[in-house]
Amino acid sequence: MKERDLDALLQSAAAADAGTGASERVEAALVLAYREAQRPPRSGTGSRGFGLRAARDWFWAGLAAAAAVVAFVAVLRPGGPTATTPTAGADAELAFTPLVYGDPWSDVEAVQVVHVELPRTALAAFGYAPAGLESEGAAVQADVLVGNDGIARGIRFVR
Amino acid sequence: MAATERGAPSDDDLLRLLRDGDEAAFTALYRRWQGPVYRFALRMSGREALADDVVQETFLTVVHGMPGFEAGRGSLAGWLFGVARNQILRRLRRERPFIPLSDHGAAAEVPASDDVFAEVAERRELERLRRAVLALPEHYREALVLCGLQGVSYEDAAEALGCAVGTVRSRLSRGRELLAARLGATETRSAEDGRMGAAGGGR
Repeated sequence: MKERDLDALLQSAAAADAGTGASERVEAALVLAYREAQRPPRSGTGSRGFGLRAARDWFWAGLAAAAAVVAFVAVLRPGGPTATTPTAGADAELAFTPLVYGDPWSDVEAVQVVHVELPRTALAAFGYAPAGLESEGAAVQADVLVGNDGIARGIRFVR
Repeated sequence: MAATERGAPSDDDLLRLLRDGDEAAFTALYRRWQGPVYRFALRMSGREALADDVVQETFLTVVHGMPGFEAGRGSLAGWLFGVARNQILRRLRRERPFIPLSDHGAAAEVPASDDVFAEVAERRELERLRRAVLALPEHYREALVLCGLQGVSYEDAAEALGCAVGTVRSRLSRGRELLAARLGATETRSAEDGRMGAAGGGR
């Protein structure tokens, strides 16, 4: 095909497409989203578009995800994992343990770190043998990485 | 494309207003740019539903404050097409196992004009072009759809595609070569099929 013919064909295609656009429901949905984002937060000092309510949602989603993961692991490993004692000092700066199979970051555009408190026994469920299991009732701190789809991707325990 | 009409507020003005909560400014900006974004997604994917989704996701980033956009450093067009491109590629990769059955109903529509044959022939040509565009490798396709079909400037396309202007030019040029070759090949095949059909019919 000649250059000139190709140009003419591309121009025809562009002209045929000229009036096309997204359906009306898209505009309606976006206008609603815009209104919602502009609405001042009910309380607190949250910023527009991502206010206190959103932060609270993230927190509860993370907490629920972490609890679900702990319960899941505990069920899968009723006898408890092989005791692994973290190296000294490592529990202060542990890498995140992945909570999903495959690439934990596929299809994730944003993540949120949610700081949670878990029962001390949760450590054993993840393969750690915490010193002083006698203080079973005590809580441990953990950071949970939650994707923007609400799925927990990783967890690390912090001192 | 999407040129600002005389007297109409500029993109920068609209952005300023919409950040101050002016819903009319948001709607005006959306109506100015949704078409180009939609057509970019449609011609990259061949699917209207996907194009709708891409427009929605792209403008949701506008709703949520346009992270990563700095008015002085780049154009709104480049930024919007860049966001849309990420959405398109992500969806195409995720849905690659599925072969699109083309949700375009152009072939089924009945031409309105008197010159039915000419219109049908033109539609077939356009459909052939669109299929050939969809068959191009991704990086040639995006340059061709943006610059060749949508008339986006090389600078804006470079910003959207995250490459140099020279790269956009060379991809566009190579894309056109591939497209011409594909269209030429199908043209020859159609002509041969036509001759064989005519020969068969004469027996």
